[in-house]
Amino acid sequence: MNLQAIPLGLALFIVIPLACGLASLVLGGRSSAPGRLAAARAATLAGSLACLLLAAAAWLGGAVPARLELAWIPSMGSSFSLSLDGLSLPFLALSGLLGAAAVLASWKGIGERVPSFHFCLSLTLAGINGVFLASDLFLFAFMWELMLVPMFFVIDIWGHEGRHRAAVKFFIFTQAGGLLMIAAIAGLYAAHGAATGEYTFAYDRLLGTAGGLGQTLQFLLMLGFFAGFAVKLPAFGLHAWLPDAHTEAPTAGSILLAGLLLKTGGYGLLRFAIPLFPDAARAFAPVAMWIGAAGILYGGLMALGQSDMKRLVAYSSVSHLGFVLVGAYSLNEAGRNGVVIQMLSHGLSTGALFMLIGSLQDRIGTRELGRMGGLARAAPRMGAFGLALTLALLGLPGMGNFVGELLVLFGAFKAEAAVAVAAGLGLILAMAYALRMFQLAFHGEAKEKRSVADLSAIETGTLALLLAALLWIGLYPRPVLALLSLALPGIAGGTAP
Amino acid sequence: MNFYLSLASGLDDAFAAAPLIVLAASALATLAAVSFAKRKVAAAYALCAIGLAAALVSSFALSLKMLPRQVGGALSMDGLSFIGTAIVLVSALAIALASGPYLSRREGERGEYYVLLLFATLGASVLAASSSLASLFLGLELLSVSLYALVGYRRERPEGSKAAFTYLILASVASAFLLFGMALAYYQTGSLELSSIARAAAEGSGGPLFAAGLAMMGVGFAFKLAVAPFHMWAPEVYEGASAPVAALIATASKAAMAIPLVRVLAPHILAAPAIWAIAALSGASMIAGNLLALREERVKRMLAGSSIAQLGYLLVALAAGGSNGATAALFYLAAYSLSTLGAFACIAAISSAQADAGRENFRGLASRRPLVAAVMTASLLSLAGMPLTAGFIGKFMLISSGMGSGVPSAASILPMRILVVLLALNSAASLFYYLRLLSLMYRGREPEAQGEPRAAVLAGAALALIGLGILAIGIVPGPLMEAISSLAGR
Repeated sequence: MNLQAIPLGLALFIVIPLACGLASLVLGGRSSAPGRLAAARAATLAGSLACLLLAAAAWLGGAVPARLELAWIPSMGSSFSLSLDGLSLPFLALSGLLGAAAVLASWKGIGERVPSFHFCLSLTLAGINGVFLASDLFLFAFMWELMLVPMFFVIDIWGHEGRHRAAVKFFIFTQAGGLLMIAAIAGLYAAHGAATGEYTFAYDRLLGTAGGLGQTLQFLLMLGFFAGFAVKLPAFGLHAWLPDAHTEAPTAGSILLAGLLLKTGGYGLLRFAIPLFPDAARAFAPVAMWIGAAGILYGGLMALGQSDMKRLVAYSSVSHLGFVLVGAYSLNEAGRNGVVIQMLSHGLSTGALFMLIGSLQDRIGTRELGRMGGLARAAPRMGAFGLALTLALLGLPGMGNFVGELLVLFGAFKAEAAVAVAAGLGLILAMAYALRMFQLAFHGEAKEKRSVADLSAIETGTLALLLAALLWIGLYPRPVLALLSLALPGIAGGTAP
Repeated sequence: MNFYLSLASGLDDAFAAAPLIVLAASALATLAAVSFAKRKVAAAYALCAIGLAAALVSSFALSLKMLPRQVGGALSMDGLSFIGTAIVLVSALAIALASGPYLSRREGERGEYYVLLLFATLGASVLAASSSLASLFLGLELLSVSLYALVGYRRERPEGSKAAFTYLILASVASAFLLFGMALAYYQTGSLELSSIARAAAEGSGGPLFAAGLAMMGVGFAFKLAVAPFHMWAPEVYEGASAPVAALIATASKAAMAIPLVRVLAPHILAAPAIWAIAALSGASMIAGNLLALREERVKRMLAGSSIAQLGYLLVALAAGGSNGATAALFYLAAYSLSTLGAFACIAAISSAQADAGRENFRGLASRRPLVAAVMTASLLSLAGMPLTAGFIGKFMLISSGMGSGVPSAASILPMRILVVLLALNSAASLFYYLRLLSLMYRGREPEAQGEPRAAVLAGAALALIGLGILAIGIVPGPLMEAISSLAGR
């Protein structure tokens, strides 16, 4: 399928969620009639599914690479230009899938201000899709910041007990990083303009700019980009917002946060921070890899000590995203491939886990591991999915996570063997915390007497879909890797050793 | 023949200065109406709104075509003054519209309020158009004196009188500084022209007395703009003044005051000491303003802190200088004014007859008054610099000018880098207080709050237009950006 032949083409990935979000607002109105609320939910669900179908069609139809360029702010040298390549396509598919999962996961759980909630979800998705598609640095910054606002509201309005604090913390951390990145974008723009007389934000034009800059300036600009992405990832040391935000967000918010927002950080490293500043990235690589390794170990250790199930998964994310940092700065093909696989499978597995925890919390009213136990017997379907996802979390072969982590370790070993060894220790920690979580929640005697309804058909179906995708990546990752080899030459060139 | 020529040239002058003439005429007409009309307040309200709208129309229909034109010896109707006047007039019109329902809820409503509003607007417009020290001071005093009276307009409220006296004393001190600085500058250069003084400053001619004069004028400007460390009056005055008047001080007055600064600074590449001085003021303002707002529970005082910080951001572009700096500064000025206007108009819209809206009035606002909550959300997000709003584009342009997309001079690199990083961190920290208020509006579903007024049609329409404007500039900034950069060059 040729996306460029459709009117709006690539912009559909942004326009559809926006339109469906607005439709949710209009359909839901201010009424509380169940029919209208269902319509509001369905509109957003339809938007996500449409994006998923679009991505699938583009994938199967071989529509990569595709471009779209519309005039936006010509006086500043910025255009509304999107480009779809092998790196962005898998993430767009992930965003469609997890967007749908997020709507389904909150079908019952969200009862307040339903239309606004779905509008916020849609707007977040539009921003995320924009981040994955933008090939103009100003547009990228715009989209990067755009996804924060609705996400803030999702946490702040519909979250759990400590939501206000968590929402503000999330916003301030990411915004501080984002503004430093914007400063770096402006600096690169100015340097390019001063050198060539052409003031432009176009990604392709800025790709080679850094080579002509002084080393100090190049390094400073690279650090600005790194700050933005490292906060979002999050890298060790800048992760303080993550456990709170993930824990306090409503289920749908956690799914989008862990499944997609964190991925924009890794995507940004691969797309911008490394290719734009190849020399500075090479100089910085050992430091970044050690930060990644520290995150892996720290996240694993913290996860081991958590009693709140959601918080445990949140810390495991810090650990797993450490692999992304390690792999990205290995600066070789294995590392890069591993990073993408790792991010996709982490998105799927953590998204599914948050969905499971959400439905668990809806039923038993707690996320405390100490008050669970015996759930596998009480709710067998829940137990089965719990087991499968636990195994994904600890990186069992067959699941996508295994492929991702293994490739990252290969890449890291080539670049810095010591980092690979340290990161490998993280896998042992993963076994420990994942199995502990499963054991406390699903095995043993029930700590409190209660009857637990098993997963509904919708929940079962959604989880099964996510799990199937995870298995597919784990067993047959070749299509994704083939797609990656189609990525823009700038990326491959930038990460070649 | 000569007569016709001079008549034609006089007409051209009149066309170029049309907004000023319309403003002066409507101020006088409103004064007459207040003295003689039967329904004094209604007549004054209508005349004021019509006069401001007419001035706005005339500036686009007549004045814009004549640019640039020197009117008399002291007024330069050029692109800069057009931008300044447009910001001032839009602000004043929205404030006038919001004032109607706001004042009618209160006891002791008087038509003189609108006369003062018109005179303040006239002063601000003259200030924006001034090309010499004489007209600058004239405009400034016209604006300031009107504001003294407006701040203390409701005499029965002690906090209003207190604010008025604070403002009176400190602004007079600032005027005195400015005047003395002007005298020194005149003594050294023998000229009242802003351009020749700026040239002398850029060339470094003129002795220590001249430098002292410039510094004193700088202090005067910093006072009026409420830039740290000369900002202490702002929270008190914002809190004591009624919401529309506080809006006038925060938008029209500051925008008008910033135009001469742009006029003087933009054409020249600044020397290192000047850059460092502006950078110090800018950094101090960001930090002081945000600290003030962070600790503040009262909404109007929080907005005072916010605008101190915002002016600090603005100075980044002025320190960067060049045509890019000027465009960024003017764009940011427009975005800031519109957003601040929105915030104050929302406060005015939900203020009860007894007191201006405080934090508690915002709780659950989204379910009670969705339009006001939506506009307030847009305004706060714009002040915080989030995308889809004008503030994002403005902040990006500031950062961009700070990173040297204009003509970078070697002396400016270090201070500008520091400023940009300060701007980034400060604006992230400022989110804390913007979000705190924002989040409050979406908490709970309060039934109709005690004493909360009902929506008024005209003020509501103005509010909606402000909200739409913030979004429109945020999504399609191109036209405004191009208009500003082409106008600033004229």
